Amino acid sequence: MALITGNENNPATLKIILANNFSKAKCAVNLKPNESKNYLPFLSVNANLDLFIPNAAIWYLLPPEPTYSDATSEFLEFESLTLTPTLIHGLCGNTKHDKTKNNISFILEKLDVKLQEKLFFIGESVTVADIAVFSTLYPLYKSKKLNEEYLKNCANILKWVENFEKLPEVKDGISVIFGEKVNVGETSYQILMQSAKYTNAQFEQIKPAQANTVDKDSPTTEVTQAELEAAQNAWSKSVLELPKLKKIEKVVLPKSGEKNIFITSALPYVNNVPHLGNIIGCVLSADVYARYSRLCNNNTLFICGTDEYGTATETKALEEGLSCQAICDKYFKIHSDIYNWFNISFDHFGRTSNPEQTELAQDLFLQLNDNGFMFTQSVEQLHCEKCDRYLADRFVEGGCPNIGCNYEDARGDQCDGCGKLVNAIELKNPRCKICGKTPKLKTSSQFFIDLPKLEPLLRHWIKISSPGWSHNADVIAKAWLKEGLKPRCITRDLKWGVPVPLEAYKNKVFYVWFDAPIGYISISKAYTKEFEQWWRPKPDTKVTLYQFMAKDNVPFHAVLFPSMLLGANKGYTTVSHIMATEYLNYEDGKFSKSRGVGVFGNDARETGIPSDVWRFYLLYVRPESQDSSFSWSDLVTKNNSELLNNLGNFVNRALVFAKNSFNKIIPKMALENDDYQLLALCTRELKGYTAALEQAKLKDGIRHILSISRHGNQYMQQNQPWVKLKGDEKDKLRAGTVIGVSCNIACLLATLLQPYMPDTSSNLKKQLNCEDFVLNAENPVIVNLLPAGHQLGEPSPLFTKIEPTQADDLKKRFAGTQEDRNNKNSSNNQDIAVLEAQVAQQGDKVRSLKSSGVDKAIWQPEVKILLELKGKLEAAKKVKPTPQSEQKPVVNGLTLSAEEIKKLEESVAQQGLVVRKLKEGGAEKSVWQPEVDKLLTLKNKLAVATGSAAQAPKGKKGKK
Amino acid sequence: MASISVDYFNNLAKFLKIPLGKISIKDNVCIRTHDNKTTIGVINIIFSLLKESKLCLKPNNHLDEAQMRQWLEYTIIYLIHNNQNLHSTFKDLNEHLETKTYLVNEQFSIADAFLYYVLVKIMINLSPLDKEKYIHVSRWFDNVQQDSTLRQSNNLINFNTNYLATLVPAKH
Repeated sequence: MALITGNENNPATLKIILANNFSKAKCAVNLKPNESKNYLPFLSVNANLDLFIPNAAIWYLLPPEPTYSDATSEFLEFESLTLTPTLIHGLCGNTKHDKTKNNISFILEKLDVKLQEKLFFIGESVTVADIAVFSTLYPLYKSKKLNEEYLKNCANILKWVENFEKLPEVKDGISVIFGEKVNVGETSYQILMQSAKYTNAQFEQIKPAQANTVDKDSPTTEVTQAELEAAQNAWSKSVLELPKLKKIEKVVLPKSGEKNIFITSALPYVNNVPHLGNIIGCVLSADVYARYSRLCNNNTLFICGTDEYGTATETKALEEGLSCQAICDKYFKIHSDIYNWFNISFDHFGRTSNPEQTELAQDLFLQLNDNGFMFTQSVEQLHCEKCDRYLADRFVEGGCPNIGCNYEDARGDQCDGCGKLVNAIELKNPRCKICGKTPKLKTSSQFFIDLPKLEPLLRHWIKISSPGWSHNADVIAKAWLKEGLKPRCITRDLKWGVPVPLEAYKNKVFYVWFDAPIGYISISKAYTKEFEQWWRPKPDTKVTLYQFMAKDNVPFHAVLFPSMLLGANKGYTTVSHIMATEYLNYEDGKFSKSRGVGVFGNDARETGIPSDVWRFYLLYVRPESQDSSFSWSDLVTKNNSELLNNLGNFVNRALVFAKNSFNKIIPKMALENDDYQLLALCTRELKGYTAALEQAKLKDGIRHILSISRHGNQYMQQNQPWVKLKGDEKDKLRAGTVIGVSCNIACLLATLLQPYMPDTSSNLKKQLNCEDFVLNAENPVIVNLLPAGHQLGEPSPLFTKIEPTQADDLKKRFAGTQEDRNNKNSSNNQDIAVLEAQVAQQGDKVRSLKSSGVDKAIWQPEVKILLELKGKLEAAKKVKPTPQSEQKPVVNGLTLSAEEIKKLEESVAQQGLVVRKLKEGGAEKSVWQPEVDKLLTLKNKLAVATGSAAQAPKGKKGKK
Repeated sequence: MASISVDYFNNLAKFLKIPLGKISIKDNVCIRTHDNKTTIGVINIIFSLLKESKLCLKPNNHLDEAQMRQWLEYTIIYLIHNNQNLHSTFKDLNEHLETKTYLVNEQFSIADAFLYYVLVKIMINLSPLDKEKYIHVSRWFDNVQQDSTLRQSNNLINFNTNYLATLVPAKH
């Protein structure tokens, strides 16, 4: 027996009741559902099947005659997809726009036409079309107010409703659903919406957003009274009242009673050059957090190093024909240089091939062995007698053992012929990859760590520690525990590694994953002999360990390393915050170290884009909660729109005004409500910033910084100090206040930027003549950082524009694999393009430096660099025999000589200066517009001239 | 509010191996013109495609038809029109699919096909964690996407989260 479950006052329930009344079904009705169902109403056809979409339910209860099926369906669709959403949208939102009103009227008038001279929508009797539309319109019809508002001009509808209402089936349904009080209007649609959970989003969209759910790119600009008062209060304090920033000691040690933050980033494997994904995943993320932590005056130690032992190093050494040690030395240098260029502020960047590693790994192994968490088991392995070594999977080849595949050169781990996984000992006719001899199967005894025995300890620990982890780390660790831990083999028959400190096993070394995390301890020891203060702190000292990594490293840090430390039972510091990122993709594919796809640490440097911009972009797209991708065009857009036009623009405007109008001294400020409003908004962002960084949500932090400068730009635009400067005394004081407050906000930004863009931050601090101030994470406020009378430095632009064409060039240049690129570079075609780009960029830099009017001492070296680059470009062009000299560029049909072009260039530069000066001086648009036009004409001429010169050889090549 | 796109009809017609004719969308109302016949409304169009197709996907009885209508309307309202609150919709859909292999009875229907074409664009961007969170949606989706005639040019979406086990082998 079918059952209708619904609620009172809901037009959708009315629909089903009416259909039921008109049909012969006579379902039972329940209008007081006791369990909270997702949807109301719904029709239970049987115990397992509910129809919860009302129109489907009435279609089932009262099917139309086949000839009317299409027409009925059309009306039902109109009712559910157009009429109902429009009514809900128009009547339930708390802002009533004229537009939504018009929408309702428009739809009702359309409906009205269809009812002309008709008693029913379709044919000569009641169909579900009438039932659906009637039910939905009824509350509107019955509300006196709404009826007058919307149904005034709909005579046909009114007539139709009146007739329909009188039918006994309808009368009964209405009394069941609405009882006596039918005049419910909007309330009824509220109930409909909530019961169907439908068009929820639209409703939420109209609601004024809450502060914490606000879209971060378009912050709300309303502040509460409390926020205003707090901002006012904070501003009355001077920067001198803040605690001083601690000097970074030579050796940082934890202190009792203070916050001691210990930060590691996953140890990069030494056999390759790190790519951007590696950099953002560990070292860069850890660096931002470490810099932030130092700004909070915490005792902060940040260490990292290269992971050097293992098969992969041996393979690489064979490949390059070097010894393992030489390979490690070579790549250690490469890693170290790259991180240096990226300004990673390690307290120590070490390596796992240090003597401390041997000592500590052996020590920890013995502790675990003594505590009974190790056991030995024999394992079958291939051994090459000639080379006197056990062959790791990659060192053995042979016939594929998989049935149906006759591939002869299958590797020990996988067959390239059929793609299936291979067990090395099952290979047919195995041979040693190094000498080609047939290896023999030998059993050797290996150590296993008894993770099942450690599992209870680990489970207990994870329960306490995991609340501080990033979500993916938590999920991955729990997935491991859910599967149950298995013993893991920790030794290998290799040569390049830490030897096992037991006589019978002295020819074996520890497997890389056992040994690698111990690197954290050994690198600390290489940094200071007092390393135990960090790793085994005294009871009165609390050390908080943060470990940054990409998600593939989580099992080692969440399960294996903690198990080892817990098993040793010596009170080692264990991680409390595992901060794991997802993966960064390259354009639309994957970064790959082994295949050389993507942008690598050393490539980044060669693009000529400053490391700060790289840092900014990588952090901006940090794959925090899901994979994200790196894209050249996005990099350029973000640089130009966010850094240049938003952040750089605001800071530069503030400082240039202070220079031109107040002689580089912060003017007297008399703050009004508007100014406090800005401070309150910025305080809100500052709070967001510290809250985000406390949880290492680095991506959010950047957005708060950008929001602050966005507020700043708006504030300047609204207050127009350039106009007020020309006014009377009162106006001038107002202009001074606006510029003074803006400089203060710039000073705030200088510190907030420090973790993200250290070079930019110090550049800005120099321009402001200020220092970093201490961040108070518990209660961040904006005090008066730069008081009136403070002497500022010389302003200069913080960022330079990157041309979108440059993005295309770079995209082409870094397409394919690293190997392809090297081959390409042998033809110096590429070099010319690169040099040209560099010359252009350096030229821009020199020009902007000169135009900002800084000292010659500053721009002179840059000019030198420019000249050098130009020289190189000339040389490169000579090598390549292009008919460059024969082809003269043509402007408007006229041939231009090199000299004429030079003249043109000069006049462009000059005109550019004129325009910039005018704009900076705050002149009216009517004044600078004609000058801009002149500049554009000149630039066009130049582009035609040089453009044809540069493109001519390319065009020729294309035709071949 | 997003609106319905012609792509969905193209996909369905291709899957059903019939010519689509011309689809026009005006004021949120879809109109199909084919063989001098005009069909109005998304659900009407989909049923008209079904009628013309040789594939046996027509509803067996009246109850099946009502259920198909239910899921088609559900997909349009909650997934196409209302795409700003996807997480709550996914949560809800996940509950619906908890006890189901297919949307209507234990049989593949046009409602599954339609839902597939709408979801495929969303599933691509779902993180592995979300796929796991909406496990029943993932299971349903992975099941239906195996049919290559349904999938057409879409790629198979990966639902394998078992990459962990390969990182540290239990034995070597």
